[in-house]
Amino acid sequence: MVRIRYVQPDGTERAVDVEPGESLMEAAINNRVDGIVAECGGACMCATCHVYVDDEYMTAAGAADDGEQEMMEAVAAERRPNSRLSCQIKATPELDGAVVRIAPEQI
Amino acid sequence: MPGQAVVVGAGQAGVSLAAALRRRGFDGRIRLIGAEPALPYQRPPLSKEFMASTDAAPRSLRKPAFYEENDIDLLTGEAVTDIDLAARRLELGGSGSLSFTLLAIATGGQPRRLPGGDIEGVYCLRTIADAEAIRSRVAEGGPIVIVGGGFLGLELAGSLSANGHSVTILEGGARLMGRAVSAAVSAHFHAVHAGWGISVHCGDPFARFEHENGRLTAVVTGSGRRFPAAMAIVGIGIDPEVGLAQRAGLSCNDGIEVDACLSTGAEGVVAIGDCARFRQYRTDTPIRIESIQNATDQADCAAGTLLGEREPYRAVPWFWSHQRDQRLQMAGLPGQAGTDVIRGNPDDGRFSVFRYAEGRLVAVDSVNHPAEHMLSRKLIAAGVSPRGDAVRDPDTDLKSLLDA
Repeated sequence: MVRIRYVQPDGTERAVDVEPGESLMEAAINNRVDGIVAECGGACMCATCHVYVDDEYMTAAGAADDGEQEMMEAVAAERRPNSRLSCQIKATPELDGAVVRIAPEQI
Repeated sequence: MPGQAVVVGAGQAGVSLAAALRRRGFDGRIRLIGAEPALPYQRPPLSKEFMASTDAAPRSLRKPAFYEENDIDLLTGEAVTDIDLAARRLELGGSGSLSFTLLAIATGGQPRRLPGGDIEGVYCLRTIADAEAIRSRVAEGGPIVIVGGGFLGLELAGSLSANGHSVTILEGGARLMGRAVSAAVSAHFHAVHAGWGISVHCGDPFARFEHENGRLTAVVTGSGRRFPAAMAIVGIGIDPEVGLAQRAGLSCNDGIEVDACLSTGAEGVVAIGDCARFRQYRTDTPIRIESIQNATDQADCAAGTLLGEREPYRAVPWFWSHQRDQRLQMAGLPGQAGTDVIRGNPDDGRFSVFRYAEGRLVAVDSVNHPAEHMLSRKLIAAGVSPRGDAVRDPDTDLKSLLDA
C-alpha cells in the first residue's frame, strides 16, 4: 500500500493507505477525504480534484499530460507550479509518504 | 435520525444518494439495490477508454470497502418488482421483501430501440454487458454504422475509428448533437469527425436494417441510400425507467414526476437522475435531465429532502462529451435560445458559443476551453448576461462581470 497524506487548507492532515494503481482522487473519494469534489469521476473533465503536490514528490507524481494541463486552466483556486489534478496521479511505491495539499476551493 | 432508507437503482444517482445520506449524518440502515450484477460503475467511460482495448476494466463508482465502511448494504443483481407505498414495503423478485421509511427511486433509463433491433449485429450501449458485446464484435472487423449522431454515437465513433475501423454516422436530424448544442459546435464536430475518416451523414433518417440469415448486412436510410454494415450501434437516446413507480401509483410523464425538492407525491419518497421529471427552480417548468452532474447534484439535494432539510434543487446544469482529444463542455440549458454569439475562433478549434433566449444568457457551449466553461457556469448561476459585443471581444474580461 502507498501512504498518501492529504492536508486540508486548515492544516488538518489525514493519511490514507492507497492501493498501487488507484488514483489519489479515487482514494480520497473512497475514504471520504473532504475537499476533493471530483464531479466527473476521474474523466479529467471537471478540474475539481485539484491538489498541490509537495515539491519533493512532484517527480514521483509524474508529469501532467496535455489534457490535464488544459483542464488545469479551469481550476478554481490558484494554479501553481505544483498544481495537479489528483485523478491523474496514480499511486506508486515512489509516492509512499507523499503530501498533497487540497485546494481551498474546487468550484 | 433512525429509519430505513432504500435506494432503488445503483447507478450514478443511487450510489451518490446513499453516500449523501451518510455524509449528512443519517445513521439508519441504507440498502442500495441495483438490477445489474456488476459492482456499481460509471457509464461515461464505456464509450471511451473502455473501447480502447479489450481488457480495459470498468471504472467503479466506489470500491467494495466503501459500502462496508459506510454501512451501506449493497444488493446487486436484484430486481425490485413491486413497491407498496401504503405498506412501505418493496418486493425483490424472488428474494423477499424490504420495508422502508425513506425511499429513493433512481432507476435511470433504457436505450430506445429501432424496429429490427433484435437482428444479430445490432447493438445499443447502456451497460457494461452492452459495451463488452460491442467490443468483442468490433474485434471481428467489418464496417460499423452508428445510428444517431448524438453524444454517445459521436464518442463511440471517435473511439472505434481510432482503432482503424470503418465507421459511418447516420444522424436523422439536420446536424450532429442538434438537440443540445449550437450550430457552430455541430459544424466543428462534423468537420473533426470527417477529418478522422468517419463518414458523417445528416438529414437522412434511418429507414430499416437489412439482414441475411438473421445477420445484419446493411442500414438503409429514408433516401434509399444503403450503408453496408457488419454491425450497427443504435444511439438514439433513452426512455426513463418508470414502470415500477407507475405501478406503485406515482405520477409519471416521461419520467417520475417530482417537485422542486425532488419529492414525489408520496411522503418520504424521492426520485432522482435520468428517471426523474422535476420542477425547475426559477420557472417551475418540468424537465428531465440526463447527465452525471444532474444525477450527483440531485442525489445530494434529495438526501436533504429525505432528512427533512428541504431545499429546492437549483444546481446549474452542466455536461461534457469527450470525443478523442476534443473536449466539449456545456453549461446551462439551451431551451428556447434564439441567439448564438461566438467567442474565439472556431477555426482554432478552441471557442465558446454563448446562447441567449430573449437577451438572457441560458447556455454556453465550450470547445477545448475548460476555463471558459467554468466561468460560464458561474455567469449563468449569477444570472449575468454579458452583452454580445463584450463576448465577441477577446479582450473583454468576462470574469470581472461576476464582481460587478
